[in-house]
Amino acid sequence: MMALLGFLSNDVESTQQLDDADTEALFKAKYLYEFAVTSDWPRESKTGPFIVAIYGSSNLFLEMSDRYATKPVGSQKMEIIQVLNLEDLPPCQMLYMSRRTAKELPLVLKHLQGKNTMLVTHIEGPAKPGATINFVIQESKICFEVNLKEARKRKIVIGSKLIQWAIKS
Amino acid sequence: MRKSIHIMLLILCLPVLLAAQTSLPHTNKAARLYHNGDLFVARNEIEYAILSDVENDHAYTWYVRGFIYKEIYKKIEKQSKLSENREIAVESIKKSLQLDRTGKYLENNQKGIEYLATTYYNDAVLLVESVTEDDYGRPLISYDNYKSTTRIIQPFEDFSRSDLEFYRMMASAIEEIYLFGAQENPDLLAVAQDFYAQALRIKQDDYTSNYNMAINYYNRGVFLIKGIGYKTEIFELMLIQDECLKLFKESLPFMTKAHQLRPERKETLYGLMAINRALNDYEKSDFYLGKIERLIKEGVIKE
Repeated sequence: MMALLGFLSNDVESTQQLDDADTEALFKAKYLYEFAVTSDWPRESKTGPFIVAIYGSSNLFLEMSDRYATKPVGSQKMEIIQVLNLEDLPPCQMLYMSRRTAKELPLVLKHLQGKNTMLVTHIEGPAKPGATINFVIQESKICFEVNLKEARKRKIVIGSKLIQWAIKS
Repeated sequence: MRKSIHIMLLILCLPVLLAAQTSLPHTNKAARLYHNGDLFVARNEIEYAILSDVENDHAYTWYVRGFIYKEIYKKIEKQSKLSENREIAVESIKKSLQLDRTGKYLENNQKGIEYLATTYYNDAVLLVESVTEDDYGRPLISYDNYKSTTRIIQPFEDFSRSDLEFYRMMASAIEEIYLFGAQENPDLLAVAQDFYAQALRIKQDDYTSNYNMAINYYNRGVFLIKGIGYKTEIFELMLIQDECLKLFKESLPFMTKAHQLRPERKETLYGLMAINRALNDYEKSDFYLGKIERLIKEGVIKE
């Protein structure tokens, strides 16, 4: 007697696992790092750690912490913090606010008044006053636009490399 | 890898080889030796037989030869996936079938071929289960041998069902090699895709192949993104995005198809949500997220 071993003889759900990494967070984490290392902040912002505050995206906070925390930004070390409540926002060189928190922009701007903080947003449409850099989706791709006037107001010099890759400045 | 074991019993009668032919002295002697269990002496004798013009031209000679080699394979080479004795057994029985104009040995020859084909099939299954990064060609060889051996007695056999299962299982096995240890070699995912593509050529509506193909494309894209580090230049980042978007776009129709085939399966809903998110289509991604949440609430799918 000879047994014939079977492959998947019934309609079997032998399915692979989806990699559950947050692709948007992975890209944005790298962008934020590039925004930090290719731009220049005024002298008063160059002491202590280089703080990147993340508001409204835990995944981005985790990716930034995992990949870029403690990386050098000039003579400073990058430190990533998660902002859960705007009232607790500490002084920082960069603040990212997610798409889902866009409606809180006026409140954020109030907090950042007179500060040399680069505000990075992801707001669709033309109106995003106060944002230094804004993420936009163009042909499914995450791109960014730079507001040089806003950068100047906050005494931040945007690197030429960034300006070159920005979709409009 | 979930498999169900499909058992088919094949009753193999021991053939009566002692149908002596007066003009075939070497063959008759080899048959007697075979029955006495002297397989290697029987093998030497049958090799003399095929050197004789008269015996070489007789179906009985090749029939005896086939069964001697089959028995040697069975006794001493069963574990060898590359057994030469088995190959010689197949070729000999094939020749016996060609020369057997009266059909005298037909039934036993057919049983012999069925047995040998089954051993190739089982080898293919075992080789798929133990396939490694460097030898995914071996199960293919065994599986092709199974088909070519079966075709000797069933020239018009339709293999589409077993082909489908074999390609799916190959793809899945290769993906597992990648997932459990060879993640530095994403080319394996492309190899797995080729197998899914072959499966889909057989059955366009195959849920597993559509779903896994989608996951495969998607995971290849994610693999590229995960490779981004602080040393990656902005221009490289742009190129990686382009490459990933291509993969995610390739992934979408397969996941959509899988979803059409099984609309209530939560994996496809999660898949569509993830692919659309990776394509930065937040509206669609949120749509599928909402659908998942609703179906969980309604108890249609589990969290």
